[in-house]
Amino acid sequence: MSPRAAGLEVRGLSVRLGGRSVLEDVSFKAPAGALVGVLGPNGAGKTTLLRALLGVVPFSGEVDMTGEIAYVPQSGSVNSSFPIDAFGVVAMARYPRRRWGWRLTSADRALALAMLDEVGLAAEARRPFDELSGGQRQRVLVARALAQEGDVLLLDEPLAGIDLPSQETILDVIAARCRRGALALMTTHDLAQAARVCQRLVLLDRVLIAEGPNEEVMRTDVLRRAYGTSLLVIDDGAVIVNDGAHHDH
Amino acid sequence: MITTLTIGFSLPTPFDAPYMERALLAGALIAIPLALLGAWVVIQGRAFFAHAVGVATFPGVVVGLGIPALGPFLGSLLAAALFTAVVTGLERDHRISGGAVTGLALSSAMALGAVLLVSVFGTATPVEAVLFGSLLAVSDADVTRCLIIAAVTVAALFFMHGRLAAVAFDVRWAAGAGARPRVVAVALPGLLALAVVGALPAVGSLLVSGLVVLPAATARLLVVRLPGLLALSAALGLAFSVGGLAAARLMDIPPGAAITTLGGIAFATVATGLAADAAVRRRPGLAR
Amino acid sequence: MGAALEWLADPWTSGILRRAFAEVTLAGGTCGALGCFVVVRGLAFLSESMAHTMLLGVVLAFALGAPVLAGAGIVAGLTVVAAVAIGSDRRLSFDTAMGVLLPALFGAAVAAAALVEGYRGRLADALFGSILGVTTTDVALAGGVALGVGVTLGLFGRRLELVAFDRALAEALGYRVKALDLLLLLAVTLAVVVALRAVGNVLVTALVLGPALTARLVCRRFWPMVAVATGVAVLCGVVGLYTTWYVEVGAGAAIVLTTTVLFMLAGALSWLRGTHRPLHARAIRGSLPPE
Repeated sequence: MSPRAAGLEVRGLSVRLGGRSVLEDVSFKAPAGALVGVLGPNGAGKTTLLRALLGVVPFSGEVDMTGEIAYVPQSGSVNSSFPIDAFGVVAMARYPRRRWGWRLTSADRALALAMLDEVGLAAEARRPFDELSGGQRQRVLVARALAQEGDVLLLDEPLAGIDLPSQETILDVIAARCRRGALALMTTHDLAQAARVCQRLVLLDRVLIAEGPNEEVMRTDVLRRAYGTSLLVIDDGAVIVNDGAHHDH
Repeated sequence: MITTLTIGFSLPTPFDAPYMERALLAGALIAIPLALLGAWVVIQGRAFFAHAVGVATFPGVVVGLGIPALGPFLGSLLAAALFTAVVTGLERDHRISGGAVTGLALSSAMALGAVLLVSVFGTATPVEAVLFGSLLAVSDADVTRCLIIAAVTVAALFFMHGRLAAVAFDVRWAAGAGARPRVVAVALPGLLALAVVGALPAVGSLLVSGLVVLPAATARLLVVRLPGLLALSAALGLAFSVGGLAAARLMDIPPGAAITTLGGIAFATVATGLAADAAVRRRPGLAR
Repeated sequence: MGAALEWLADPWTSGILRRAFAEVTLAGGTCGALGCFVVVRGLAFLSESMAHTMLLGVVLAFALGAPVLAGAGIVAGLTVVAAVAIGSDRRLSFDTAMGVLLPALFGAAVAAAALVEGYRGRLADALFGSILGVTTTDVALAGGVALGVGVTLGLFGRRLELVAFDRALAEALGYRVKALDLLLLLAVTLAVVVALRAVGNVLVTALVLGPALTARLVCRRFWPMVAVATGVAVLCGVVGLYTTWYVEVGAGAAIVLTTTVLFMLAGALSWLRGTHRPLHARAIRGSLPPE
C-alpha cells in the first residue's frame, strides 16, 4: 500500500433530519497523518457528521476530501446470525465499490487475510463471526475497513465496550496507517482516551464548539460549553464527564 | 425423462404420465429460485412477507381464472406486484412494526379472493387447486415460465451477490461502501414475488412459502458459510419439491401439502438430531 | 323512517342471525382487545401461524372422534412452544420459526384432511368459517372466553401493558415476566380458537389486527386504544353480518373486508387531518407505571 497524502476540509456543513437541525455550520480541517477525535455529548451529531462525509445523509455546505473512504460503523449494526466467518467479513470489503458482483480474485483474498493478520486474528479466519468475542468482532470490522484501502478512515466509537488488548491493537493499526499518510476521524465518548491518543480534536454540540490541537480543546472553559452540567471539575483540575454511552443520531 | 421405474412389486410409478412430467419439471425448476431466495429470507427474517405474498396471489388467480383474456399467471403476477409495493411502502421497518400491516393486508387479500370466488366468478373455480396446488394444473407454458424465472433469478442473485451479502450483514457499512440498500430492498421482494407466482400452479397460494423457508431453514442448521448455505438450500428445495410431488401422486393429496409436510419432517429430523447430538456431547460420561 | 327501522330490524328476526350477532360480538370483541397486545408486541405472524396450524388439531381430533376445539388448542400450544424453541437458536429467528411451522403443520393438516374419511369437502368451511352455523353452545363458549379474557385484563392488564412497553422495568419491579408472556399467549390462543368459528382459520388474523391498527391511528394512549379496538371489532362483525344478510357475500369475508375498509378510512382521515402517525408500535404510549 503506497503512502498517499489524505486530506479533509469541511466548510459550513449543516444537516437537517426529520425537520430538526442536527448539525449546523460545522467547519474544520484534518491534515494527513492525523488521528482526529470527534467529541460531544449525546445527540451532538457525531455519527451524523460521519454519515454526511460518507454521503449517506444529505447535507449543505462543502466537503473537500482527498483519498478513498473506509468506514467502521457503530457496533450493533451487524446481523450477527449471518452465516459468515471472520475472513468472509473482511473479504466483503474487496468487492469493487459500486460494481459489486460475486467474484473475488486471489489477490483480494490475500489482502483480506493480510488485514486480518494485522489485527492479530489470522488464526481465527475460519471461525464463524457470531462465535467471536466483542473485542475480536470489532477487530474484524476494523480489518474490513483496512481492506477497503482507504486513506480517510471514519470510525464511529470503535473502542466502546471492548477489552483493552483489542483497543490497543486497533489504535496501533490506525496509528500505523496515519504514519503512512492516512487520516482518521474517530468519534468517542471517552475524553481521557481521546486526549491520550488523538492529535487533534473536534468538539461538537450540534454546532462546532472548538477544534484544533488537544491543548486548545481540552480546557475546562471550552468543555463546559459542550457538556454543560455533565462536567464535574475537582480542585486539582481533574475533570469528569457524566455521559452515558447512548447512541446518537 | 424417466417414464418407467421397475420395483420388485407393482406400484403405480409417479412418473408415468405427461402431466406428471410437466409437474416434476416445473417443480424442480422453480424450487431452485425459491430456495435461493429463501436463504436470504431466513437471513433477513422476512418469512412473514414470503408467506403473505403467496397468500396475496389468491385473489389474482381467481380473477385471472375468471377472465380468460387475463389468465391466472398474469392475474397472480399483478396481485403479487401490487401487494409487494403496498406492503414495502407501508411497513417502515418490519422489525419494529412486527408485521401487523402485512397481516391485515394478507387477510384482506384472502377475503377479497373469497368474495370474488363466490359472488363473481362462481363455484367453477377449483379452490383446492388454487390454494394447495394441483398436479394436473401445470401446463407447458408454466414449465417454460418456471425455466425463465429460474434463469432470471439465479443470474440476478449471482450478479448481486456481494451487494446482498453486505447489506444483509451490515447495512450501515454497506450503504457507506456504495452498496445501495434501497436497490436490494426492492430487488429481493420483487424476485421473491416473481418466483412465488411461478410456483403457484403446482404448489398453491397458501403453502408456497414452505418451499421458500423450509429448505433454507434446514440448511442453516447444517451450514456455517453463505455459499454452502445457498447450495444446500437449493439442493434441499429440489429434493422437497420432487419428493413431495411424487408423494402427492402416490397418496392422492394436494402437492403443496405433500411438499411442505416432507420439508417439515426433514427440518424436524435435522433439528432434533442436532439437539440430541449436542445433548449427548455435553454429558461427560457419554462424550465421544 | 319506518322502512329504515324495518331494514335494521329484519336480520334480528332470524334465530341464526341472532346467534351470529352474539358470536361475532363476543368473539370479535375479544379479538379486538387482545389484538392491541398482538400489534404492540409484534405477534402478528404468531397469531396468523396459530390460526393455520390449529387446523391440524382440528383434523386429527375429528379423525379420533375427540373434541375439535381441544385438538385446536393443543396444537396451538405446541406451535407456540416449538416457535420459541426454534426461535431461540441463534442462527434462526422467531420469524423463521413460524415460517417453518406454518407451512409444515398447515400442510400436514391439508394432507391429513385429504386422507381422513369424509373431511375433504369440509376444508373450505374450516378455512373460511361458518358463522351462520353457530350453535348456542358455540355462543356460550365465546361468552365464556370473553368473560375470561375480560377478567384477565381486569386483573393483569396493567402488568401486561408494562411488559409490552418496558420489559426491563417490569422485571426490575419483580413481575414474573415469563408467566405474564404465557398468560397473554394463552389468552390470544383461546380468542383465536373461538374466532375460528366466526370467520375461519384464514381470516381470523383480520379480526385480531384490523381493529387494533384502526384504533392505533385514532388513539394516542394504550387503554383508549383497547376500548376503541373492541368497539371497532364488534362494529365490523355487525356490519359484516348486515352485509351478508342483504348481499350475496360470505359472512366471514364480509366481516374481514369491513375491517379493512374501516382501517383504510381511518388511515385516510388521519392523513387528511395531518395527524398521521407513523404506523410502528412506538407511536403508542403506555400509561404511567403502576404502584
